Amino acid sequence: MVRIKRLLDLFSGVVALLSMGPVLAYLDRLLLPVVLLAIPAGYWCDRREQYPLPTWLATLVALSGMFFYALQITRAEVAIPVVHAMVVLLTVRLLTPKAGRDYLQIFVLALFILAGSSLIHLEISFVVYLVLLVFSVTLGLVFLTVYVTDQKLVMSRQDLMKLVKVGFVIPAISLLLMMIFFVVLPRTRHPLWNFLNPSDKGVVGLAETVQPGSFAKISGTKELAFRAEGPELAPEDRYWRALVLNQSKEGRWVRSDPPGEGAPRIEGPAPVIFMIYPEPRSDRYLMTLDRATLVTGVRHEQTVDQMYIARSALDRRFRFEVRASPGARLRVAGNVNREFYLQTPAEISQRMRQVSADIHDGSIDVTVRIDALAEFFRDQELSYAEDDLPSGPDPIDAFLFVNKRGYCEFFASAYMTLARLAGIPARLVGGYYGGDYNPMGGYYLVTEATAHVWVEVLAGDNSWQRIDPSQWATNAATTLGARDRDQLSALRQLADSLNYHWVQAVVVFDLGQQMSLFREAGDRLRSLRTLRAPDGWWKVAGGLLVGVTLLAGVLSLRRKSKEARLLEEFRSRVKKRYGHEVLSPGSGLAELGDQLDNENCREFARIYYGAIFRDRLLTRPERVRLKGLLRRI
Amino acid sequence: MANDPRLPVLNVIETLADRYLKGKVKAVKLAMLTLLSGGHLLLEDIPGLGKTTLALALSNALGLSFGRIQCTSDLLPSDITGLSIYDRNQNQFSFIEGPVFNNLLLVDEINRAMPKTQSALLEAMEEHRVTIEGKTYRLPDPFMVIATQNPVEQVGTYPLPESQLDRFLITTGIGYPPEEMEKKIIQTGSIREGIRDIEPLITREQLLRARQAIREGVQLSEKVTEYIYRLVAATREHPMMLAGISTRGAISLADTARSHAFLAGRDHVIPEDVKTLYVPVCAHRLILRPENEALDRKEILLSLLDENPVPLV
Repeated sequence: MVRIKRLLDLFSGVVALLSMGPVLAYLDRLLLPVVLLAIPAGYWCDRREQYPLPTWLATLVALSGMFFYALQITRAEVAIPVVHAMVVLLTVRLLTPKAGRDYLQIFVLALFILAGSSLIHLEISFVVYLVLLVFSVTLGLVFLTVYVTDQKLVMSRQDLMKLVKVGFVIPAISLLLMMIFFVVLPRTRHPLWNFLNPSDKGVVGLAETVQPGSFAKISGTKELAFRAEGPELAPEDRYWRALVLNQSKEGRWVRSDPPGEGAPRIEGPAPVIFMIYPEPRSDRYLMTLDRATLVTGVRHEQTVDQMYIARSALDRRFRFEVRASPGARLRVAGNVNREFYLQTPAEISQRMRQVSADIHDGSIDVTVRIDALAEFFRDQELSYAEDDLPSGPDPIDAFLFVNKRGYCEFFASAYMTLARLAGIPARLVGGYYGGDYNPMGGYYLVTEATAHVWVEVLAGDNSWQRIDPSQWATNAATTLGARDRDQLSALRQLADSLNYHWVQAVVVFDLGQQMSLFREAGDRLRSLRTLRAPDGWWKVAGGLLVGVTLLAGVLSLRRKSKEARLLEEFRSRVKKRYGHEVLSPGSGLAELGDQLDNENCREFARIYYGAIFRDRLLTRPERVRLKGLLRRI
Repeated sequence: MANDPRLPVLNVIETLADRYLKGKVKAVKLAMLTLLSGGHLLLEDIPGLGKTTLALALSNALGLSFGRIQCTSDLLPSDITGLSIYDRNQNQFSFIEGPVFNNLLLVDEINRAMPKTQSALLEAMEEHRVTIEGKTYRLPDPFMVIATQNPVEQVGTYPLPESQLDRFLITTGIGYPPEEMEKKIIQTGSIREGIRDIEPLITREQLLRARQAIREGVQLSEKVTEYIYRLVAATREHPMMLAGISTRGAISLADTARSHAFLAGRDHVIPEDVKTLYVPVCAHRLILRPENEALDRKEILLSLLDENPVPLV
């Protein structure tokens, strides 16, 4: 036996917890423990029917809390103070005596808090909370309707289960409908509430300078940098280009605007298309697969040295399309300001000068010089390492000749210096190398740990050529590409795929994409080609389709026959006409007709019985006839 | 439609119920159903309510040969079946047929006969033949026994054992006639005289044709079969009962339901047929636990009808 009041108290606690779940991380340090305590305390108070706050004090606390947080509202920060104010109200509600409308208030506040949390932070976990909250609130409301009719009601377990079943059907159906509407209904390009939405804080970003030797040890974070949806690439093509550094300044490599040069021409294999989903970041560099030919989907400018810089801050989730030819050459059709790319750092050790002088004097052909430099790096037997790094006044010299260990910045900086000394124009390129391909989602997951620096040199045929000195490390094969190989277990892959689809389907979903989806579907149907292996949306849509088909199948199995539906209608008609008491399962239709002395009932029974007790189904004219009779009952 | 085998049967029922046996429609109908289904009828009621009148009227109206036995404790089996008597002229025994060699046999107060006599009669009822002195004689067709018994009197009676009760297709009471009708009967006196004048309303051939039409023309669907089975099985599992309805009981229920459907002019049995006949066909077959003997069998069966939903889909 369960008291309905006890159930309602429990559910108001659960609802409160579910609504605050997504915002807990954003709550004030002061408010957080109070909230966490209030939920069990509220339930305890309800059981004891003793409450800590007298009503006037509770009202005062609620009002002052609201006032306090209302003061914090600024144009940039609306959502968090509002959510805080609602959390205060909810907390006070939990700790005060509850009648019917108080439960209703709790449910409404909970829904508002969850809605508010979506303004602060929209993660896939929101859906989980939403679904749970919808179920809990609906059940709570069903209990509440029972509660208002009889506050002292005690229910048996069977009755309760019946109630719960009813309570489950409503949200289940509405969630299903919500899923359908989500796909079907058009949406604006940006959420209408966006003006309330504070920017996501940029958490990641590329270093804008390269200064090897400033740390004894580096540790890459596993923070997600971006996802890139597209085909799987060969290991030597997985260079994600973002930033070009070209000048040396006080021991660091920095960027200064390059001088103009001739029009670039990209020569290489057919381009591949990647859709890039960057995480919110503090800089404006758009990472592209190396040798991008076209970037669309974001307002940007392109620099002379093939950098793509967005015009607005990248502090929201968005996506853009990159068309790129991995491994292509970038030939410059005019003159390149060679002097600009030959400036060297001020302080260079004697040993390095010697090495570059040897190479410089070895040949006037740049190609030969490049080969000679590569030869030198291989001969040094350098190893790739992220700890016990060279330091001191000249870390590059120490790296090349003493420690012989370092990470990509050491390799690239050393190469830059030597190349420029040897008369080879060169520039540093920053970006990412590698990434984990997630076959489930068909995309690369690139983390900050894979940030990388390499070099581009101007080869003899006036084309910029990518050279990655880190690849010459003796242990390059085991360290460089494999830096975060261990991080993606199957489970994490799955979790990340889910998150990816969430971002792709919900966060950056827009009408344009939806229309293009329809167009694409239409095109595919018209051309009658076999469908390409489904990617992204198609998988989700396919899954949905299969789900709906299965559901329809199950429903049609359980669906009632035409006879049963007719009978049901007969019952409801009779019930409407004669009231409830005439219908018992132990009575048949014919006797019902006699009992009610209704000629239409008798006729209905005659035709209906004539079919089913002859072991056959009703024919179409019979059904029409029966429906006519039903209308006349 | 003139050739409808149903019409003469309906004619019998209507004529008897309207003109002679007023207020006994149900009993007349059940009697005709028994006849059509080839079973026997047990009328259970106190004396003076017209049990014998009903049997007489029926026999006259049916145009069948009629025999009557008044049971007493000294009634011998041979009084029923007949016996061989020595014929001095022909110098041999010749068999004199007893009352059992009639189409319709009225056995009055059957519970007054000795068990030995009862069992001889019941054997004849079941087998439709009698064996006397090693020779088997077939009984006429149709053959129907209408037995009556007084359930109130106990002294000097030999209650029929359950196994023999099972051989009666239908047990029914007659009940008092409605008030108006009874007043009229009191006023006009007994109708015995009038009954003698009833002309046969149906021939033996017509009756046999109706029986054939029932056997061949009325469909018992799977759903109704299932319903009958559930109703029968329910009595077997009932906590108050020592034994429920036998398979013979179930067959009887199905057969009478067919006849009932036939009389209603249908070629298929509906659950209402079964419901109507469940109590008359099944009540006397139940064996209650000793501690529940006092309970009304009819009420138990009616409650089972309420509990078992009618198959509708």
